[in-house]
Amino acid sequence: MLILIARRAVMSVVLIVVSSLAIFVLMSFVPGDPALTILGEHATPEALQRLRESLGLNRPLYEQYGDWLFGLIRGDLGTSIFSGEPVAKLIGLRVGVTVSLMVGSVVVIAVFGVALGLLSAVREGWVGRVVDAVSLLGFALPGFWIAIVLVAIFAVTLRVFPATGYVPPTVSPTGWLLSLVLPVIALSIGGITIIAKQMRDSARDVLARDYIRVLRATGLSERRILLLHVLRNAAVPTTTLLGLTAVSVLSGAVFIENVFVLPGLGSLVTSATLRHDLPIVLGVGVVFAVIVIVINLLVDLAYGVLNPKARVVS
Amino acid sequence: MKHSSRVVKLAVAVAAAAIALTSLSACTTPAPSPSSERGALLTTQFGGVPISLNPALAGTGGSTIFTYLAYDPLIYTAGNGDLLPDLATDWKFIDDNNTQLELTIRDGVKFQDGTDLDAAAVVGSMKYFLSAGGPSLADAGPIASVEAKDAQTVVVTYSTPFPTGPEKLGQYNMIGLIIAPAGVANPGSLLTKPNGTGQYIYNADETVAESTYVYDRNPDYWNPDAQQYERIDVQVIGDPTAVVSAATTGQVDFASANPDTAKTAADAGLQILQAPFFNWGITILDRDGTLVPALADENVRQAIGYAIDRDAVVNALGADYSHASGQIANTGVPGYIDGYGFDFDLAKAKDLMAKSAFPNGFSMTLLSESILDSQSTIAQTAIAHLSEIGIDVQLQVEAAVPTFIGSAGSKSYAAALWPIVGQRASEPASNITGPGFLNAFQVGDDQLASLIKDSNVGSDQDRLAAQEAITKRSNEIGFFIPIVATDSVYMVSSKVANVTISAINSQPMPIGPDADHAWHPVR
Repeated sequence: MLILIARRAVMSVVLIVVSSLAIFVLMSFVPGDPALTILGEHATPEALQRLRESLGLNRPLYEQYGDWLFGLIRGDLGTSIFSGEPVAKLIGLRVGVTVSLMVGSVVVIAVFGVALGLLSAVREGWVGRVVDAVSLLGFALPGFWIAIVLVAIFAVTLRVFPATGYVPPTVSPTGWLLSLVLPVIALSIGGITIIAKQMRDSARDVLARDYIRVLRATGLSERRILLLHVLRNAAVPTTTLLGLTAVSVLSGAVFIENVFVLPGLGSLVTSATLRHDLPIVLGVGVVFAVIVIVINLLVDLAYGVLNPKARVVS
Repeated sequence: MKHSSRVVKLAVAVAAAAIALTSLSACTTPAPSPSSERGALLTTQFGGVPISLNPALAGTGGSTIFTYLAYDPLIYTAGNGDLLPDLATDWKFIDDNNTQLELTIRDGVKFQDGTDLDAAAVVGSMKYFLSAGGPSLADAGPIASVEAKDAQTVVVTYSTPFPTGPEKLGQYNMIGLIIAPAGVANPGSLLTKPNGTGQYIYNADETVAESTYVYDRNPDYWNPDAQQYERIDVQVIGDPTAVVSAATTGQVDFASANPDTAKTAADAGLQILQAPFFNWGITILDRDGTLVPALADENVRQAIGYAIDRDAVVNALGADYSHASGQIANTGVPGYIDGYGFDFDLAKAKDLMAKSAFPNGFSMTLLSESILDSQSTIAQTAIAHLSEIGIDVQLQVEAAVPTFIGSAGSKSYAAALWPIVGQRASEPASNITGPGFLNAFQVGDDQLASLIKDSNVGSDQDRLAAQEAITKRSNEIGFFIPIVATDSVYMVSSKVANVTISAINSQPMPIGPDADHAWHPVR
């Protein structure tokens, strides 16, 4: 397992360099000039040039990227062009929001997706059909639309949850939970349907195997068969999908943070991209890359737990 | 985005117009007597992140709030457009040509770093502003020099007559916001530690940059009675649905609205304030026909003006908060001529095209954006009838304002749809003929330039006449084809009182130099 983690660590360095370089190159093609944004459309060419020089934007692209990369090695993510704040501080203030949103959504997706999938696999009658229909509906509805409806019902009309904003857990654990409920539901519904469908198909496949019949013949209870044998075996492909869903939750968070006005990394990178605040875009890109690497590592570790053969192979 | 200044009055004749306008369109929430008891927290919303917290580089318009809370202006512009003393207790032109403006600086005021405010500090701040080249530099006027006459007196000298000079030293014109000498010496520090004499101190520890900006009451402020709240938060919320959700559930006390969200907010019991603000129109960029030769023809430009069905645009936007516009000046401001301007007359448009050198029509690309013109409603509705006079228009819609500005200034587009603002006809006229993206090909008009110059000299009546002449000349040359004027609309919590807006000050700010001009908590 240590070898696996070491390999992943080496790969993560390569991934961070490649992804940051890709971001840097792509951003250089996006129209826009931070100096023009700051000084406005009436700025003289001289003033624009002075500001570009003071911000270091007049240097060759490879030099700018090289400086940023060496800063990253030293743990310095640079400074925002507009706010003057260290990027590490800006990310530190917001990463908790995005991680809370993501972890909450993945937990909800895993619990409800697996439960619904198993239920559908075991009860193939009307329960299964209802689960199928709900899954299809949840898959078809866009997350941001669900978010708006949830706000209209539960925040504006019923006043059960806040419509916007985030409360850090250090300020109020209850407020923190309440501020995450609607965004997590909005982010999770699509994922639940995907996981439920995968779980149902896998569980049905396992339930049809000979060894399940043998287990039943030995007098083992249905609950034990389901939880100890079916769930464990069906969980392997579902875990892969859960990892992919977690990554898609990360991209979905960009939209959901805007709807619920959550000060997370998604809203930060959106405004930074529009303003060409490259240090922020690169910094958030690194954090996103690290999160994706961690998700993949956790999926690999989960394989090892669920399937001993996978441990040997890795 | 960049807003031109919105400050006030031209003097006696203009004041008359302003008073009439104010009586027609000013909106105020109920104003109970100010009390010494302060509110704990006021939360306001703004739609975008600040360009900078350094006044010399900051944006104006509604984003003024990010700087104004921490920096006092020399002169305060009230909601109805009146100019009131702030850091300057008195001001007057000391020559007959309106080129030398003398300001008396308030005594006993301290910056937030504890240093004293004096004339030298004011001069240092203004000179720094002039050298920084920020986005509101063009609004400061033709300043030739700024000198300290003595410890409490500053003289601003303009290179040409500039009777509106005092207006340009208000809270919406960043040169009027005075920065402490230590901040001038180290401008980089102002991004994270604003240093003015303002009523509120920027709280960098609790601020989440680009999301929530926190300002705490300045305990050493020179006029504590003016401070009506212990803390003011400015929430950055761009999505209109999120804005109205936050407003109707009480998470923000003051927020911008659009026709759709205003209705929702009104149904939820919020106060709705509105005042004219944007004047939307098609700015012809390619006036000498470099890209599209037909646009060099005045008949063609006039034909476009008459081929736009403005009522259809108003209906598409929502009639409660928009009005057809046929001239460069917004309703009620100096230069506005009642009953004058372009209207929808397809027959006349066809006649003009027939008279032009391009009777068979032509093709052009219209640049627009989808941030201010949500879903390109104005652009799409405005061009609906242009094909009937033979003009085939392709829309190029940019998704971000900076991108739009860059594209408009790139000389790649013949025309652009963009809103103009101004307190008098000469201001938008200067914008579309001066340097900047609205005049990408650098084509002006001598007669218009002469009228703009005239609008700064002579008697009040002469200046008002010049403003009206600017409006007429603008329509004659057709560099700007006005379409629709849209209101600034705000949702205000029932817990907040004394919010005042009008056509001449449509971006209300929560603080003022005294309690009478500040928003109050309702008790």
